[in-house]
Amino acid sequence: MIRGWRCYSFYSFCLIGLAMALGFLAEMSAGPRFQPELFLPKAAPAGFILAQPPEFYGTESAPLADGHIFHFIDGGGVVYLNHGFQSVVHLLYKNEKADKLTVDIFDMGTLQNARTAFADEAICPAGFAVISVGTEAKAYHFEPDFFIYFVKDRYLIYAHVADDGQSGLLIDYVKRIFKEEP
Amino acid sequence: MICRTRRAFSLGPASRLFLAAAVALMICALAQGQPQPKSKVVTVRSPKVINSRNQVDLTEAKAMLAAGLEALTGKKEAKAAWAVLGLKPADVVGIKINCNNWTITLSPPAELLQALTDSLAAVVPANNIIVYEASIADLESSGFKRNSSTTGVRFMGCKEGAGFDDQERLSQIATSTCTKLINFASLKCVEQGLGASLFFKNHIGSLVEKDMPKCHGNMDFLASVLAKPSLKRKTILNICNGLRGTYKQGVPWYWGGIILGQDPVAAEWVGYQIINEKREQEKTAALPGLEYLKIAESKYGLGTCTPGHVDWVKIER
Repeated sequence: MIRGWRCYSFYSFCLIGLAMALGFLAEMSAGPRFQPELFLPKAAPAGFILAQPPEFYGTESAPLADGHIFHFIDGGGVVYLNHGFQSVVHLLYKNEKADKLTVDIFDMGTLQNARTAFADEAICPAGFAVISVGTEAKAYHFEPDFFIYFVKDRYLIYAHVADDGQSGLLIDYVKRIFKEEP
Repeated sequence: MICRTRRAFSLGPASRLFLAAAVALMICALAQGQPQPKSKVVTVRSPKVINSRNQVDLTEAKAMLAAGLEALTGKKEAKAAWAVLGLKPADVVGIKINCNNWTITLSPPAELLQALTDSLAAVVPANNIIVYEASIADLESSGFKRNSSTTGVRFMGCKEGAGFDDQERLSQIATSTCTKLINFASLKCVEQGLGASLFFKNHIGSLVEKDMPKCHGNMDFLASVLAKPSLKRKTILNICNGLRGTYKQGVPWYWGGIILGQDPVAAEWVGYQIINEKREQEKTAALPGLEYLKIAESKYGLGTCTPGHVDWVKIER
């Protein structure tokens, strides 16, 4: 009886081990879920919290956990690919009133790529005001939207609020992001 | 005498053949002389429908939709107008919307969507109306809540639930669940040789995921999207939300209008004219040629983008 029980336990243990190994292999073969080198801001904007886990998008040939750039910005992604786009992290924050604040960090591969993307009117159109966030940034006010583009290292960073009453808060947050180490 | 007269007017086989050929030629000539029916596209604009804070007036949105449907169908009452478009009380109507939030929110405002669903509810039960997008996450990002219950308008995602049709490579919401479809696009400019993202690109979200990127750069594929049997057969109306649109990538303006038409090619062509009119005002070069629209017209027979064949009815409220 005891011998039978031991045998049953042994096989159960083996089965559990096999299931864990298969699960691990499946996880590995599902593709990269996270790129550690992707830049993530250390803290949320004042009064805001992350409304959902960060989303990660890669290219069609190297998609990340949430897919590729066309899943994220549809046809608008073509111009980013033209400038060497590698990946993007999408961060959505909300405050108590459910106001949204968005930060998208595009890894363009190199500083040069990030700069040429920043200079491309198909990404950063005309009609901006130049502001300083520690570096030169382009700020857009299309009522009621307010958003900013700037370059930090090889990243092109976009930050947006749907309520221009929070433009000051956004600028402060962007300044904080710029100071952080990638 | 009488017999002789009859014989004099009777025709032999050769004469009959000649006469038949002459009549056929006359009919052909008459038909060619007839002007081809034009594709009617209606645009309705109102300065009262949206303000500079992107807030929409529901009453005005409803009035604009009613005016547009009347101009398109010739029927004042919603029920009669939808009947002209082919909607029947037992139909299940799918409304493919475009939840577009990057960088400027161009998703259909809830008020405009409500104006449409309320109008449809004059014919079909509210629960027979399905608003759908590629995923529930897309709907939620635009403030719409999932509803797969048996009451009220349903909100569904293609990724969740219904699955995809292998042959058409389309969401089964379009191929199986719905008997009629409404293509509800947004007035969006993407540039980069792609021009605008209107009725053709709107159905990207109905496609199987692998086919989605083909719409970016493959003009023949893009033109063929609306030729998929279910989309071609079931679509009763193409409507575009232009209350707020973009005339350059990421640059919005309050056009304050909607576009309605049954011919998607003609309606898309009108969308281009509206965007280009604004680009001209802003001293920006016109959007590039309408290659995929010409393919849609000549190869897939989906409608016309030939200016003289489009009957553009403009209503200003």
